[in-house]
Amino acid sequence: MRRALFVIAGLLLFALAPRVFGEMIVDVNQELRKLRELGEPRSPAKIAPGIDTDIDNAISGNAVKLHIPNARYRVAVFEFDDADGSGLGSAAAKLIAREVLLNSRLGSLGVLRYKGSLRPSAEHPQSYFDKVDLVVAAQDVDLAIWGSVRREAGALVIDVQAQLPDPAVQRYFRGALTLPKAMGGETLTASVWPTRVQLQRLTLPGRFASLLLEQADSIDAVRDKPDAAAPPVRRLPVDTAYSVAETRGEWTRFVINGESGWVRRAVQCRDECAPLLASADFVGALLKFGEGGPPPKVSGQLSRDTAVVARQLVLLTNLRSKTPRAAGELLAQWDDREATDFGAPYANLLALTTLTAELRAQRGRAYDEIRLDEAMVRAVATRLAEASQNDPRNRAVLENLAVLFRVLQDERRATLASGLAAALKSESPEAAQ
Amino acid sequence: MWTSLRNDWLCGVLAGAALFCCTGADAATVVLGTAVDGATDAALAGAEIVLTSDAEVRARALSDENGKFQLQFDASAAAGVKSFELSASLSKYRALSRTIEIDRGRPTENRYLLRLLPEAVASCIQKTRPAVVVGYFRAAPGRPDPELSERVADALRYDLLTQIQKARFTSAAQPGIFPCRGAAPVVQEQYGGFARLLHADAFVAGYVTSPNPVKVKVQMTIADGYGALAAPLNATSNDVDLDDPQLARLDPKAHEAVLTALAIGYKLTKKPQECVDLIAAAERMLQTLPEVLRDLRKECQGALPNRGLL
Repeated sequence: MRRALFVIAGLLLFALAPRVFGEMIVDVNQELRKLRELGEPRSPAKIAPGIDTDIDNAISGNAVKLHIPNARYRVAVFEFDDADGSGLGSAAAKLIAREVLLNSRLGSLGVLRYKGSLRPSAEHPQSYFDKVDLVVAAQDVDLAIWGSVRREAGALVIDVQAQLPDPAVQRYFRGALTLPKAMGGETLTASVWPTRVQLQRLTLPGRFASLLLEQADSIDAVRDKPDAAAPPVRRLPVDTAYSVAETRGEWTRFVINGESGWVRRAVQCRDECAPLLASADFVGALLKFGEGGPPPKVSGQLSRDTAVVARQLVLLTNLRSKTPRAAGELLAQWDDREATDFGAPYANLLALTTLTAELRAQRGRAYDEIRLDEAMVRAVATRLAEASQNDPRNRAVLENLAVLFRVLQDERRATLASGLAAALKSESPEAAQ
Repeated sequence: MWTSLRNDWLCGVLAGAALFCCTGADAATVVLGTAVDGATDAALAGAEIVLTSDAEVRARALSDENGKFQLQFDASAAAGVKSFELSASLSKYRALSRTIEIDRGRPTENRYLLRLLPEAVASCIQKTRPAVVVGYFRAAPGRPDPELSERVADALRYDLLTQIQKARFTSAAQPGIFPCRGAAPVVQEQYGGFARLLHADAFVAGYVTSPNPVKVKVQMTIADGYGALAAPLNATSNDVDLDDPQLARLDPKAHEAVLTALAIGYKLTKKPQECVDLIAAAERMLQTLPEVLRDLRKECQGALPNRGLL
């Protein structure tokens, strides 16, 4: 009875809790300047809210104000690189940001729209992914989106990139397998990679440029009612967070500084924007995966990186399952089977899948007493060592190899693998793999 | 031509006479040399050449139209080996100074070569590697485009760095990409020399021509800084609209050459892990690896410490 009361109270609290959907525009270079003045945080984990951390940061001057801090998931969308100065970089970012906000079906999401160039400059010599890393680490966001728009031979080429910060990978996109004590009891880990994902390279007819600009402009127009015939009464502000109150078909009611108004969604641009919005769908599905959702589906408009990531998420889901399927069974559903060109992280997840399924097949025995067949373990280690030749600085693979070679009592290889992993860790302590 | 030969002959006679006469008592010492452009080896006329000893100017001359100069002064034959400062200066060139020795009134070299670096090139010499330098792009006739090398560098930076940053390169191990519009080779044979001079792994430059009034042809040439490529590689983009930003984009063949030069650099500097990671980035960019990169990957994999895990 007492437990039931707690459950009801919990449900009530959940129902009454504000569902945060917010969007905010931030100047990326201002943010970097702030970082520079306050010093770059040594570890992204230190940014997580916590009274001790906050006090430490306040004393050392390391605190960066978190934007929309009360959202459960936070996504940063950076203005796309716009080499030709067409204005399309900002338009593409805005359209994707809005679609992520409105279409991800998450309970609580904040979208930070950053403006400013990610190109290296005298003030900030870091570039692109490295620059994004700095900002997302300070803001502790779960995912960042950026890209580029350029004209080529009369067409528009739009590149969309996503970046999964290490803390988010550790939280949502990582699997682990603790071996039985009879096999040493150590833990093997595998994370999704690439964490810097090219979502799309889209080629659109050059004539779509003006349409994209118009659409991007129109999704900031606020009306008093959800009617295209109603005149716009104002525009969404650039430096204030606003939140989603309700959605009716193509229309969304935003609350801006206590007042509300209606904004039409980007779904009105069909042929022109639809391919671009495939990126937003994939990102929404990635975030949803973090919330326990299924692996994202990969449409034909997305790039190869997304297929690599989605495939790994299928393996990860299987690893987390109470009844994991054997690697062979999973691979049989894909034409390219082991897909050796999917890289060492994929091979790593396959290795964990194989071992998990083999351990599962031994059920009925006490887990810690299981010792898998040595030849099988050696075959797994050999495949992983081969994968390491094409991705020599993959720390997770090297750490797993060290564990597996210890299981096989191959001290020479175990020492080499752990030595290489340790060297990488000292080179880049924050990087998970 | 005839004048030059005659000058050479005269200089030789003078130098010989100077060397001969200086074996004995005090006599005029003659220092001969040539001033050339350090980037293109072209003769430099009008360079001011000054010889000093203990801050005292001992001789001064201007280089002739063939870059040749002759300094004459009295040096004590009995003094043994003595050091002098030979310096050269010319507008738009970085001043150069080197120490020469006069042994009992005789220069220790028959002819001194002074390679002056153009200011615009000297400032582009790279201090850290790996580096790619984008040199001068000659614009289409009648359509000046002074920003073209900067725009090529920008485009290359995006194409290359976004792929490289997907691998595990630290910031210091990533290649820098720098425009240098002052680096203007005249003939193909000079491209490799520019790459070496600028301490670059790869050097890219080119020109734009107008086969017809509407469309232009962009010719890019890429050389490596190690002399590993037998000859500079050419990549041509035909039928480019002069107002199209594609003008500044590199052809896949050009990407291939730049990536090859960078991979060679990692291999030669004994960074096989970076070499393998870079070639993986090249594979993502180019879809299919050319034979030269496949071979390089094998060589770099052979040098990996990870080899011991097999």
